[in-house]
Amino acid sequence: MSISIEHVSKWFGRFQALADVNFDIGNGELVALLGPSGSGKTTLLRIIAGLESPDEGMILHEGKNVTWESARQRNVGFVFQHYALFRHMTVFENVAFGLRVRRRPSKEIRERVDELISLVRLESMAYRYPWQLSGGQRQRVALARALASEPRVLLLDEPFGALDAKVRHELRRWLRRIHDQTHVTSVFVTHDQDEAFEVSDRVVVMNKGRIEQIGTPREIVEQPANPFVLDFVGNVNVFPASVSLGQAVSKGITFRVPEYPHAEPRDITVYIRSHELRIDRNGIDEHAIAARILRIHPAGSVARVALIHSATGKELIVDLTPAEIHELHLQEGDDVYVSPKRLKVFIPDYEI
Amino acid sequence: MSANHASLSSSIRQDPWWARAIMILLAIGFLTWLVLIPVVFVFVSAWSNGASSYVASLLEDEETRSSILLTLMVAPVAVVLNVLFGLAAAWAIARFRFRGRAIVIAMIDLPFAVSPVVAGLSLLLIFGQNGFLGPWLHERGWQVVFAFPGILLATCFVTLPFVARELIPLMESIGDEEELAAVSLGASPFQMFWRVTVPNIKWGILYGAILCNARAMGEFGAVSVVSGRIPGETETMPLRVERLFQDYDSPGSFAVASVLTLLALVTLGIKIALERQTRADLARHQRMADQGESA
Amino acid sequence: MLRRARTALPGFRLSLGVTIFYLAVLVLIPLGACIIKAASLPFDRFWAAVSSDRAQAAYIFTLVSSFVAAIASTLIGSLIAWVLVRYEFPLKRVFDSIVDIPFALPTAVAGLVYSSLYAENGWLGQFLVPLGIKAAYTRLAVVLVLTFIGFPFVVRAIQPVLEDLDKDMEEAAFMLGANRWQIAFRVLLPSLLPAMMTGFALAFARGLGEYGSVVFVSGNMPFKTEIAPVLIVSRLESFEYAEATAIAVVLLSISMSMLVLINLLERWSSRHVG
Repeated sequence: MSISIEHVSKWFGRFQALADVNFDIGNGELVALLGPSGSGKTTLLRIIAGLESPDEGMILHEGKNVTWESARQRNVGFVFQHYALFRHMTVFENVAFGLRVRRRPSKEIRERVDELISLVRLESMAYRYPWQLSGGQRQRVALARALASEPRVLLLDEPFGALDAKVRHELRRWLRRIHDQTHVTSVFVTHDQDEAFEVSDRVVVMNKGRIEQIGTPREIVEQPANPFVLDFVGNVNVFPASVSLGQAVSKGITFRVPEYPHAEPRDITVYIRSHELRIDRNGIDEHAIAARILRIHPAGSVARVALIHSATGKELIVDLTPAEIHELHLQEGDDVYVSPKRLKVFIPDYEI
Repeated sequence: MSANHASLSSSIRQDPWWARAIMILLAIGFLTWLVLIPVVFVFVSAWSNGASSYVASLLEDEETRSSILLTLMVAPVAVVLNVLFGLAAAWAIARFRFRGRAIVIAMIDLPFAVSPVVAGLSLLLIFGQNGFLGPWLHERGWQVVFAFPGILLATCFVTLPFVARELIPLMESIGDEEELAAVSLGASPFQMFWRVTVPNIKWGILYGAILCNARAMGEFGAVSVVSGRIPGETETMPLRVERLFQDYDSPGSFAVASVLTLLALVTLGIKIALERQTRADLARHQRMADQGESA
Repeated sequence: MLRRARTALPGFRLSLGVTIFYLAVLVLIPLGACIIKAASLPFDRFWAAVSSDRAQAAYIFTLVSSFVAAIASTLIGSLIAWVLVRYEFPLKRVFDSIVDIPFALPTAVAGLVYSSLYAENGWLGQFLVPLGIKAAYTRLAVVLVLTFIGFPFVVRAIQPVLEDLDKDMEEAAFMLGANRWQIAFRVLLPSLLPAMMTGFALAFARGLGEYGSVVFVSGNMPFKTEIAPVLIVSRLESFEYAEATAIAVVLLSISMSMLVLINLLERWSSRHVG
């Protein structure tokens, strides 16, 4: 089922949680709402579900206005952040709840629940209570319960937020697989960009109640629409600078910006992602930044190097592979040269 | 906790043995003097003339019999009304934010603070012969004061907070997510309430009802003002205790008192069992919450 | 007047409607009537009723006996709470449950028992009366029965605070060189004080309104052992409704101020515990 969100706004007291939000979700799509806390993503999800109502705007399902229909009438499956399993019911009864309240025949209920319990691979747990399950198992029960009455939309609020890293990774792939099997239109909320990029077809990046960018994970990574998205999506070094004649200057550091050949100087901001900087032992490039290594944090497949620009004291962050660090014999306290492999500049009304 | 830590902590926190002994003996002494002796005294006095006289003073005195019946009628009705009120109040207060919420909470507390005599007098001023509604009710043949309805109103007033006070914090600590989940899964309000809300708070309801019942059976001041204390008609058990005492029928008075005391002890027994039950439930959910964080 | 943030849960109007209706019928309208009735009295008559010598004696006796009983409750209750939380001894759980008996026992029963126990030929009276201690139909009797009713409030107010008390605090004080008395008076007492005051206020408030037990033990002698609720009832029995109402309003305003005070204390107490 397709969903349209039209001009939706929501206030909590004086705080505006959503400000004129517009977008469409296609039939069978898996969409992520990505943003920092307080960005309005969960509020938007609850409004789509009918758990809250917008102060302004409409929600359409298949073109039909459902804004004033209750959650009950909309037939959406909702997976709560902390699962909200019924604590006094077994796994079986939790999954059966949506069918029981619809007064389906008991034979049908049994078949459907068995089918779902095997879909989430909890056959051996069917008669356990929620408190006897692990976090990951509870998450799967919550999903099976939401799918039981064949909802036309599946909504998930931070579905993996409360799980540890290993379980989270497994469940992400598994959610994608379930979606590919069921093709139910799905929306999930997350603050974790990796999660959004790994699982979803499209990502909606939100900030302060507004949509900053909508696109495929690839589009968002490669063509961030604005500084917020760029900053949120990766670790970024920021240089306020003045640009003219193809060169941007920020406190003695010079960048090449061939996209701006004009003579008229303008204030801009230069953004360079931490993995798009390189470190050299020698200053091959005349514009390379002379810096001293403060710290090297090895963090799994990436080592994060913090440096300080010797002339101005500005801190820089560079991500390298451990192999690269080993190759360059980098040590804390070494003087090195940093240069951008790629950079991005936002000029008001003049985007490159 | 390491063994070292435990021994260090106990050496600081443990008072010398003689101080402990004195304080334990003092505490036991106070409890024995203030509570135990009086409770034992009730039963000894009630049985002092033998079992047959005990049974006779309870069952053969017609006015005593009718006071027992009246109390057994008033208390359950008051409990049912206050359970219904407690459910409604807890739902409104624990599940919604609205203007005036703090005032409603304060009003629920009020009966605990108001003297029962003042409560009884207030009801008299509304429903009594010269009260605001009294004459109007009287014309229609409805007798409130000095009759069952008045006794019921007075009892409901003094026991009003018990169930609500129990359910509001309980429902707040459970949270509304399960109920929202039920609604999103298509449950009607009725289905949500019976299948999700009530099973989660059933022990709390029972607990509140038990405390409410104990207070309802024992209420004296408010009922004594509104009932008119007509023997055989509007006399409840506590009022009967006073009447018999004033009539110098000490064995009869203690016999009725012993029944009330027994009810109080049974109430406490059930209360302890329920507390154990809810503690076990709570520990289980706590474990669930902890696992949710880490698993 | 009552607006709410919209949520998907049903039943707001029904539940709030039932709540307000019930509160209105039982609490708001009757207590309102009491205040309106008192306000409609000519002022000199109201003043005469509330300030008569007998009424003044009753207020003072009610306040003083409740206050003394609340002090005694606080001392006894604190000791019992301390012993129940800090020490282990046989039958501890039984004694812990016994603390609740005054909550559950009908006050008329308490009054009956206390008046008989301390009568001249009673279990305790036979030893005490020869010593000159008369605890039946005297002021002492009222204080005693109010202590019985009041001390469980103190125990139950202090117990949870004492249980949650941060044990590191005591250890830190010990490491810093404090001795046992210094720990007790400089570390423990200040942390327990809000809970003790809450317990005191609850016991005091309960004593001010108490009727059932006092009516048995006090002898109800005007100017001597008559409490304010008993005076209200005796005015009612002589059909002096206006006078009864005037005194009731005085009592009502005292209990309302106590309620506000208790709320403030509880807020202070919970902030203290953190």
